[in-house]
Amino acid sequence: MKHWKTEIRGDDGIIILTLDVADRSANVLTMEIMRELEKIIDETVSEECCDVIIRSGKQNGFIFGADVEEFKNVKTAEEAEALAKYGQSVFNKLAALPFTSVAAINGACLGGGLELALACEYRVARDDAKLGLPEVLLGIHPGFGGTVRLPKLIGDSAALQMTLTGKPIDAKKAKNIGLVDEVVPERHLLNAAIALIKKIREEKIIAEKTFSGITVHKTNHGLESEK
Amino acid sequence: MKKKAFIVDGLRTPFLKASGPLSPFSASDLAVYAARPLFARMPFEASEIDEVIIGCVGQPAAEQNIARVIALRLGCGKYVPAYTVHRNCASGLQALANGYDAISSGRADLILAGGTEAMSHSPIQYSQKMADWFAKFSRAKSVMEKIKLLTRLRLSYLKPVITLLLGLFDSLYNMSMGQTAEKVAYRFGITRKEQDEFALESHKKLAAAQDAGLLKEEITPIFDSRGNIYTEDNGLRRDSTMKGLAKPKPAFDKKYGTVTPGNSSQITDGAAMLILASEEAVKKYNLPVLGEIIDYAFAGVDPTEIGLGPVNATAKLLVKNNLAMDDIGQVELNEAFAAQALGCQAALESEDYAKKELGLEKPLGKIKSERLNPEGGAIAMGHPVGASGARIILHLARVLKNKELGVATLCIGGGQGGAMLIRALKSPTCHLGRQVDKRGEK
Repeated sequence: MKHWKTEIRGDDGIIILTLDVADRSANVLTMEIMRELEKIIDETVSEECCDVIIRSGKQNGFIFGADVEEFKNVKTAEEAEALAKYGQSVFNKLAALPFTSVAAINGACLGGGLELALACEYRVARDDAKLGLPEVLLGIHPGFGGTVRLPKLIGDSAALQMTLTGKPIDAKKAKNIGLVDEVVPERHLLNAAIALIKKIREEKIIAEKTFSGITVHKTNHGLESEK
Repeated sequence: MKKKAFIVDGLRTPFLKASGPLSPFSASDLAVYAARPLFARMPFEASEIDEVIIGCVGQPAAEQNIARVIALRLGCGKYVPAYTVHRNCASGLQALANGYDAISSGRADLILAGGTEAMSHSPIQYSQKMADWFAKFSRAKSVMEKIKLLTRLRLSYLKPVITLLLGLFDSLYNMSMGQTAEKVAYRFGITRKEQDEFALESHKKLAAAQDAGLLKEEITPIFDSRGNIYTEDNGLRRDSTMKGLAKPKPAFDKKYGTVTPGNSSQITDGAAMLILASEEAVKKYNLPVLGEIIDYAFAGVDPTEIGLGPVNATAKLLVKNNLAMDDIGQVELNEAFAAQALGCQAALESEDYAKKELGLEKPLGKIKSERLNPEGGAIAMGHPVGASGARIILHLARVLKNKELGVATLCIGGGQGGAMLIRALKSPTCHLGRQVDKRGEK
């Protein structure tokens, strides 16, 4: 893997995926990165069968969005659709994982970065994080599933405001509207993500004991409704 | 040429943890009780001191320039000047640094320097809103006006402001001292377990030192008006275990933190007082000598990582004096927090830290664990902020072997570090400083 680093924690098996885009000062999403992510989900995560934390290896932020340079190569509507479809399919795979996934957002989480975070089950954010879909200001539709997952998570009104204005919101507000589950200082970002996973694990054990015999299906944040 | 500055003798009170009822000793009481027996065994009169310099962080409102209050209470008389210094947690060290400067520059021959702090006496204030209300009320002229104001009084105005907590909070960076320790723990990946282990070790070392009588020479017992005697540092928990230390919840970063009351220094009252003298004064009065202050250094660090201050200050001090870490026989590094002390050790051996923050090619290297606070530290005995700097110098001077070098260093709230280098000097005749007895001479 060129851009992703995979680390499996010894004591609890949690898989930590760190995106540290090679030869760039900040993280952006390119097709190459998406393909790597797909491979990780298909291989490592499926083999290890364990909960996942996605974080950034860059100090300056989580993911600043999709690579705008790559968009310039898109010439036809079909190409654009294929690109979006592929992005959706990767994020759908992430969302459909039967394990807990948490995005640990250390700073800017914009455009495709936010859509990736939305495909995770939970989000924890550093206290100075900014989250938004500013690509709409460039005339680009958030095509990796953001427009579907965002209203499901925070409601239509708040989602519309974010999607139409493209104005990023800060971590505190994101917590208030339910976009992120927890806001912590840098020093506890990973701790918070791990604690969240452990809490879910405990809850699952209790749930299994209480509702033994009843099957609880995890909702798949699918994209079918976008059509 | 600089003159030599000798540490003649010193004493401190037991360090008394600030819990439960208000301690019977004020900050000046503590300093006076520590210095009185010290003067009693000196061959000169208190009035022959050139200056009294005291470090104190939370000076009592009724004892402003507490050094003068202490000097007068000690019988130094009206002609002996006195001043108080404040450099947060290193105020006691600062007092000694000033004393050293005064002697080495030839301005003074005999100095009483030290630190005192009665943290349990730190005041509880009314809020700003309540103070404003009081001001308006006292200015109201008619009864009607007063009644009107009474209706505007809100219960929330009565919420007390605990100044001790304000003092332990950096309002500029919106972080408590404990949170800066959390940040250091994060930077160097120091776990809760490691911190608890360090804390347990501190208690064990102090217990062993007490049992071996290693602190007897530096502590003078004190008495309150009810006849209670205080002889030892009472913050020590002899029954401390890893299991017990694992219990308390993080105190500062409540949810995910690792810094707990168990692995932090305790809030404590205490005073440590030392007599410094020039070579002339030593000869003139035939004074005993414990050691010599060689140099000191202060350094600034990131205010959100105050705990690393000792690394920068010690590096500055050692480089300036052409010394390596191995040349130092014992280091007293004030244990503000276990995370912070462990952070210092990690930073001392970090190449990255040496290059980026110290401007050194190579790291100084870790302090050997047997040379670091071998008789325990502030986690076990407490950290009366103004006094700790003086305590660690006094302790070093007492326990170092003859001619051995020692460094006493502290982290300082607001992002600084202070370090002082001393050399122990112990000839058999002046050991303990008790050979010369004033009353015996007369």
